[in-house]
Amino acid sequence: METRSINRKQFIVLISSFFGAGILWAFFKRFFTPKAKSPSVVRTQPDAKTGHLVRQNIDAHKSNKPSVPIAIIGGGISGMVAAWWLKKNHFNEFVLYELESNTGGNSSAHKNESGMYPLGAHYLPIPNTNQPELLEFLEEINCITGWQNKLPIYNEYQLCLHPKEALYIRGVWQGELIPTYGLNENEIKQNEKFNAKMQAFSVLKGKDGKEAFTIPMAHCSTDPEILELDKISMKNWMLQQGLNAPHLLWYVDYCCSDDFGANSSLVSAWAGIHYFTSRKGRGANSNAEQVLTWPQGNGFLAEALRSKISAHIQPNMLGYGVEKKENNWNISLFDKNKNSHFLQNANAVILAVPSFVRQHLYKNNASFPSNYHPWLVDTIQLKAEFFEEQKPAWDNVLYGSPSLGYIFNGHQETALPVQNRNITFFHAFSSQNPAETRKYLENSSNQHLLSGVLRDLEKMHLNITQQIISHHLHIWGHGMVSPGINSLWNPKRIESQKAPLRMAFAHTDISGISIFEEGFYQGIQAANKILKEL
Amino acid sequence: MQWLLLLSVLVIATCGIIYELIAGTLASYLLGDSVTQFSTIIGTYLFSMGIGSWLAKYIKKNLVQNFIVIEIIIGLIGGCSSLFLFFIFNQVEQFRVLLYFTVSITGILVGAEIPLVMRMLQGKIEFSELISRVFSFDYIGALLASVIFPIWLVPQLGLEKTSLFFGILNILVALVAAYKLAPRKSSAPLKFAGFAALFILVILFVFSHKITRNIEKEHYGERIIISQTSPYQRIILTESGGHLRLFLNGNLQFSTKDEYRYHEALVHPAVQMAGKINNALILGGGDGMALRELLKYPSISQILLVDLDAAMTKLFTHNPRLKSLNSGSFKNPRATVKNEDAFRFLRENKSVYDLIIVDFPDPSNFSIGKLYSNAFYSELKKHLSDSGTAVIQCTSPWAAPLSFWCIENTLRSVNLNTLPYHTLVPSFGDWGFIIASKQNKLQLNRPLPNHLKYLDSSIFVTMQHFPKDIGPRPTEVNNLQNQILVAYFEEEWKHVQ
Repeated sequence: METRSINRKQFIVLISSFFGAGILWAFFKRFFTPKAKSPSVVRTQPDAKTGHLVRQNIDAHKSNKPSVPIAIIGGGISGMVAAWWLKKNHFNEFVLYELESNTGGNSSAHKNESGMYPLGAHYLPIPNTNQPELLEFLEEINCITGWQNKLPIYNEYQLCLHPKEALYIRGVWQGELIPTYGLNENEIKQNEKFNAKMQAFSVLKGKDGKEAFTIPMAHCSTDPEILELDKISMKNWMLQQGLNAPHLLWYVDYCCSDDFGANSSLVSAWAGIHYFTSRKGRGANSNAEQVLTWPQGNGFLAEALRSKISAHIQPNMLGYGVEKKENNWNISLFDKNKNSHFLQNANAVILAVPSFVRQHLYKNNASFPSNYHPWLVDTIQLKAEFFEEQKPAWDNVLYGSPSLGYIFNGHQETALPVQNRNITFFHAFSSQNPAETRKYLENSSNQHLLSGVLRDLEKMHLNITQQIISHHLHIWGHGMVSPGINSLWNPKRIESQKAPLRMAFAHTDISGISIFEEGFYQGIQAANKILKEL
Repeated sequence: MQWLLLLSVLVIATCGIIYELIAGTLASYLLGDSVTQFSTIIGTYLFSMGIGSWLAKYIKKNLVQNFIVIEIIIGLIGGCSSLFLFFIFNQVEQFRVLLYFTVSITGILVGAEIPLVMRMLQGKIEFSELISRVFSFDYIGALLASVIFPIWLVPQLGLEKTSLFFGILNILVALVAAYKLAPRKSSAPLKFAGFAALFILVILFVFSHKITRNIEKEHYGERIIISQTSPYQRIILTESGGHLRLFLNGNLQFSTKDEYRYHEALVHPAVQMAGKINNALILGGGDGMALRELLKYPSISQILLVDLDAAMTKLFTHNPRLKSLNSGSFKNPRATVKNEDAFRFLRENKSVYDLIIVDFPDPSNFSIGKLYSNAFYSELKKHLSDSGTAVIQCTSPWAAPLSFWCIENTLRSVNLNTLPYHTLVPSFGDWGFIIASKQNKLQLNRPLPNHLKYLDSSIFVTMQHFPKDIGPRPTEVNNLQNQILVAYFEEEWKHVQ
């Protein structure tokens, strides 16, 4: 029998028809697959252009404003708290100048059609009970709904809902941020040792009888033995203690970057330990591990403050000079909207601005060099499917990454349906030289910056890129002061934060740690100083 | 040519019977009561065939062409009938009308076939021979269809593919006729129509599994009569032995076999423990069955049902078979339906109710777990009148005792008095409920009604007794920050399933 075989020609025809079919298929597939709409990108930053005017010597004609008893410069948390406290003490004759169009500072927020979102600070840990003014404020704005056994009852809808946090590590989501998944025996022991040490520090008292670590900083013990910790870096302290497991060093780096914007090699051991041990807040329905949070982050608190003092706020006003004039102060102001200069005479002035700005405003003030690391914050609007499938926690972190992960801004909602919502991704440039990083950020394209964000997000959620509707990139050139080595308790720094008669400084920089509680505390202190001296 | 026509008689006879069987089977799946369905479907079909035979006399010319046209139409309508009927079942209210309409149209067309074939063969064979041959083939086809349908076709192909397959056979008959019998000059459009119809049916045949999701059929082990995805959940209704079972996201919600036990136990004790009830609120309960029980009290003038999923309430309002389960309670003028999240509803409204029935799915995820939290019960309390009662379905105290008592402790944590009770619902197991109230003493103020199928006052006393193995135990309070109930629930049910 004749065997059937194909000849050369047939073979070529066969192969090329397969090939042709493939090309046709690819062509049709491409033709019929709808092109994904690329997400829109908005990029914002604080008004650096106007802000940088403080560095120059401005010689312009200034019209006089009617004199006021008190002027506050800066509408961040401490400036607004100072204003709120003045009002609480029945003092209503003051004005607050803010450079930006909105008050709030690092606690500012924005919104899009999927809800509100923070541009910076986004939670408040359950405050320590030694800040009665803060508790009073929280009760005024219904964050505290009542009291039980002398402990505040926090608003159930503002306490972070479960699940609070998740860490993506070795392909698995674990429920707490300190790495525990896949550790060997030695590494587990290091976690235990680290926790035990922190536990001991949290109850430690100095020779002066004060707590070693608490909030506000001003209440901390000044026992020199404890303050020795301020003279080495957190990382070196860890290594000295034999705490050298990579996962633990990463975790401590993450925590330092989160609260200080700088990593554990750059911040002092005192500051690093303070992060882990100073929060001792209690509530009838919560504990120190809990946080209060809102879709717009601390924008909620900033807005609550603003609404109480709104009549006194003058936005879009840059204060660029403060000079003694007889017994009063002359404040030079620039009105961004009118593009004109003013002189404001005031009996007293509260400078609620960071130290690096303050040294330009009030030149008699001794300055102390501090680092302010830049931050990149990207709020990403995502399709509802993402949240249905991935069910993120509130705070979601990628192990091993220098970024701080993202928070889910719709987390506090109790109602369905799941809709398009925002997540906000944070990256503190915590290891690099701040000035160089600021230049780098300024010169980087949106696309370049986003590629870094997406690299991390894609590791946590494969194909998340396809679910993105929009980005809002916000760059903080000077994110927050970092408590470097030999800085917090340096007598020179402490001296530089002292203000003359009828002038007060209000800012987290006075404390040296940029957290809401310190800003609040400094605002109250500044208002009290002025009330006493007027 | 003679044998070709006779062979086509065999094929079209088989197809005709198959369409009839499909309609009957589908009607009894979807509407229940198979005797009535089969009987009325067969009756309608035969009668329609009679109409078709009678109408065939009006076709005077172009017999072959008309025969081909009729074959193509039968192929399309009959072939798509089961897909079409499945699809519209949960879409339209007047399902029965469309069902009998489809059956009638198919019947009329099939009825016209045989007279046409006989007239095409007229003169070619002697009349007596013609009659016996045509009818022999017709009846052989009927036998063939009725034997292979239950034995091979339904189990192997399923209803959708069976009807499509026979639709394709009809079209093939049309095509063969177009090539062999039709006059050449007029056959081109017929051939084109035939191939187009063939193409449609083959495509549907190949992709029909995507439409009907055979995978789920295997999973549930029963025939699925509704499978729908709403924005919130996957709604599956299955049928077996005349009983319906509803699954939401794969979890059984009720079986018509014993749902009365569940719903009587859920509703009536709470009603009789409340003071005077003017208005009542039902949270969840989108199947309308708790509503059905509540409507038995003419004195309750207003009942508001808040269920998140509009797909559920729509289904149980309009679908003929499902609305009969709740006695059409959604159309009762005393009832109002709101499709909204229950938590949001409680937080955004101020009205006070004398009775609140909480019939949510079990707390198997964080979204539902929120609806069992102290924050939720605080909101609930604000909406409850001083003499009013609330009742909550609380999963199984036997399978998940920690979960059950966690709900009780959570209710107590917001200062509500509680009365837990449980009963056997065979489809679920031992099932638990808790009545909560601001009243100090929870007891039946009035006896339970006499007309109930299961519950009476003496049984209710025994329902309040919890044996040691499922008795009260300390648990944490479920709040939005710990969602401990979901953890208990997952852990406990893991061991049961």
